[in-house]
Amino acid sequence: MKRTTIIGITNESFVHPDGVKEELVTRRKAAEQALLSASRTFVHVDCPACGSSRCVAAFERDGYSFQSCLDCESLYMSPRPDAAKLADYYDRSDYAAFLRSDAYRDATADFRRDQARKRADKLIVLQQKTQDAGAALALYAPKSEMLAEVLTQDGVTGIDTLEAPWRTREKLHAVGGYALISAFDIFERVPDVGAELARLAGMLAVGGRIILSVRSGSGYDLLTLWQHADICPVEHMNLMTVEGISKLMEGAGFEVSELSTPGQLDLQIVERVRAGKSLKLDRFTEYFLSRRDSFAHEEFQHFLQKSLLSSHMLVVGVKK
Amino acid sequence: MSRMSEAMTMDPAASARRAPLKAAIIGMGKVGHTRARVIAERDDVVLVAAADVNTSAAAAYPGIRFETDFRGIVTDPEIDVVFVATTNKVAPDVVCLALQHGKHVFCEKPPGRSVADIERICAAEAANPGCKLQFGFNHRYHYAVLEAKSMVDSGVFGKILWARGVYGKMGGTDFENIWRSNPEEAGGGILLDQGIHMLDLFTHFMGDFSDIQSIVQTMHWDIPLEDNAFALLKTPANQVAMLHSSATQWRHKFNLELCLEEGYITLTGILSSTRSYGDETLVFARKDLDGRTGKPGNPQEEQMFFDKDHSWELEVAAFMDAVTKDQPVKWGNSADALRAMKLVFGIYGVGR
Ligand SMILES: NC(=O)c1ccc[n+]([C@@H]2O[C@H](COP(=O)([O-])OP(=O)(O)OC[C@H]3O[C@@H](n4cnc5c(N)ncnc54)[C@H](O)[C@@H]3O)[C@@H](O)[C@H]2O)c1
Ligand SMILES: [Zn+2]
Repeated sequence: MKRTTIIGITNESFVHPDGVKEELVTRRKAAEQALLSASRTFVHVDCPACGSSRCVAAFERDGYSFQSCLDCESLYMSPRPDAAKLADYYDRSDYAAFLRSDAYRDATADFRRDQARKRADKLIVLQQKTQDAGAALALYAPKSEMLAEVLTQDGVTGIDTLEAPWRTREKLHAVGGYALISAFDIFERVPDVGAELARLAGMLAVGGRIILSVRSGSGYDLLTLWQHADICPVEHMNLMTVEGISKLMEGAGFEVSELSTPGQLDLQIVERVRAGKSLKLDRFTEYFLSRRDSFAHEEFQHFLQKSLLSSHMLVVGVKK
Repeated sequence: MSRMSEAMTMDPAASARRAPLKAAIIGMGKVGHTRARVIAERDDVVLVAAADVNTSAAAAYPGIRFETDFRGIVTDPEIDVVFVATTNKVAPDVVCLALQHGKHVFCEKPPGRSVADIERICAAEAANPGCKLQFGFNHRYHYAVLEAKSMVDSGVFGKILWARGVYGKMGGTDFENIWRSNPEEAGGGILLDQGIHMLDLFTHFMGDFSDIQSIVQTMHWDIPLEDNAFALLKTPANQVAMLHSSATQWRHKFNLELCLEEGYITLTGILSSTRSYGDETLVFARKDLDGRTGKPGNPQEEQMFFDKDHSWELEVAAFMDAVTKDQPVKWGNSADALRAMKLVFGIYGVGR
């Protein structure tokens, strides 16, 4: 199997520029609380990755309950809101309006452009590999239109968009019609992971590929910070482990051809949260963070990536 | 004939249920054993016979017909497929005889000791168009190479400007006495034995080369063949490839750099049974002139690791696909072999 790491670490401030961060957090918290007012309608779920019902309560976060799967160790919100409720959060809240605003978009433009470029590069190469399955490409719930723009600039045509579960889905998509589907930064958010993945699998031709990126349940940042982890409960309701997502992919009829954790920010996240909340973490982390320099930090981050222990996962599955 | 057309209309599951083709391996040395293992893992082909002048391998294959003269096996109507893993001197004779008797043939690289050898093979192939012929340029099937090929062919970084390849091994304790160092058996030194893989990869990525400059020398070992070859090759489109093939690389090394208009791809290490060439990795980055992703001249890179080598399995799978589905041999066909041999002997021609 293939595994990817990044050489050269991105600074967190490039991803989340300081200028808009405070406002973003304030609005997000308000949207979280608004959603919580409907908590009576929340539903209990089994592990979104492996389907197991065996779990233990992990922690409460801003009123949301997280469980830890006893089989694959994925962390997940249960009970949780359904897709209709999530539309309030993602489409109709002040938070959503801010994400769509010029102020936010301008502040994050450099990062988004860089990320779109890298993702486009991956999709173009994957398209080359899926030639036998055709050329049709779909972007599932893309966060910004930048990826489609970059692809179009590169001459990729016929790009479809598949809406997230909380959006109306008028368009009917052909069964087995796509050679390639991308699902960047979405599976941590969808209320029914299994159903969504099955839906996408149904739209892929045999031999077609899906590429997805998600926050990882196996990340050093999450495992070290746990209840203090740098997560937004609603947006990280499924924090699947490497083991969990492998099971999920296989169960949905995919052969996993790549599983990587190319996350770059674990140590920066842990350092920031530790300072912000005046936490005292485990002895190793305390010693490492206070006594070792940026060279060691970068090496450690690289070790995390190589060992599938970093904060973000990249998975490519080939439909069997 | 009717059997073939029937087979072509069958679904893949049905073709797997069809009686397996009968295979023979000629030359049961190191690679012969590898081929036997790969064949044993497949259900569309079964090993029924083997030949080697040295009978010591026979004990490992009870129940399989074993002979010291390959001719009886290669001409036997019962045999469908012949795998050739002998020394270079013998291989062309085995391949030609097998083709003349209607066998599909898989032959290890190099396809002989001279360009005349591969031309003789091409003639036998042309006279027996029903037979599939593939050569063991297995490096094309290493995962890092497959990945690089998809990247290059996708056009994501534009066209290749230049390539730089280093492939070297240390020779070994008995290097001066093995058949590889004997001109009569081998026909060439390290370039023909190992460097040919890198040349094949150059053509895999860049096509034909029209200009050759080179230095070919015996620098260290007491052998009548080269132990180092340096070559500069140019395509008609002015792309340049630079090769160093060495038998004095005291730490085994495989390194292939591809520089493209918009980025670069570097393959380092190649998985082998001993892992002496290091882990197989591919590093790539998009060109970043203003240091946006890293520091100027030091862009942020992505590095891929591959933890398995299935190149032997994948190339036999491709060969068996060509045989059972009657498709052309895509990689490692006789045109590829001829191209590689012309480069090897072109490098010898100007460099010695
Ligand atoms: N693709 C690769 O990466 C790769 C790697 C190693 C070798 N090879 C190629 O495989 C071939 C075999 O290499 P090897 O390392 O296995 O060498 P080897 O010396 O281990 O095996 C060669 C075998 O051929 C036998 N042989 C010689 N003359 C014969 C004849 N007339 N009839 C029958 N058998 C005969 C020898 O007895 C020996 O057992 C060579 O052409 C080599 O270049 C390819
Ligand atoms: Zn689970």
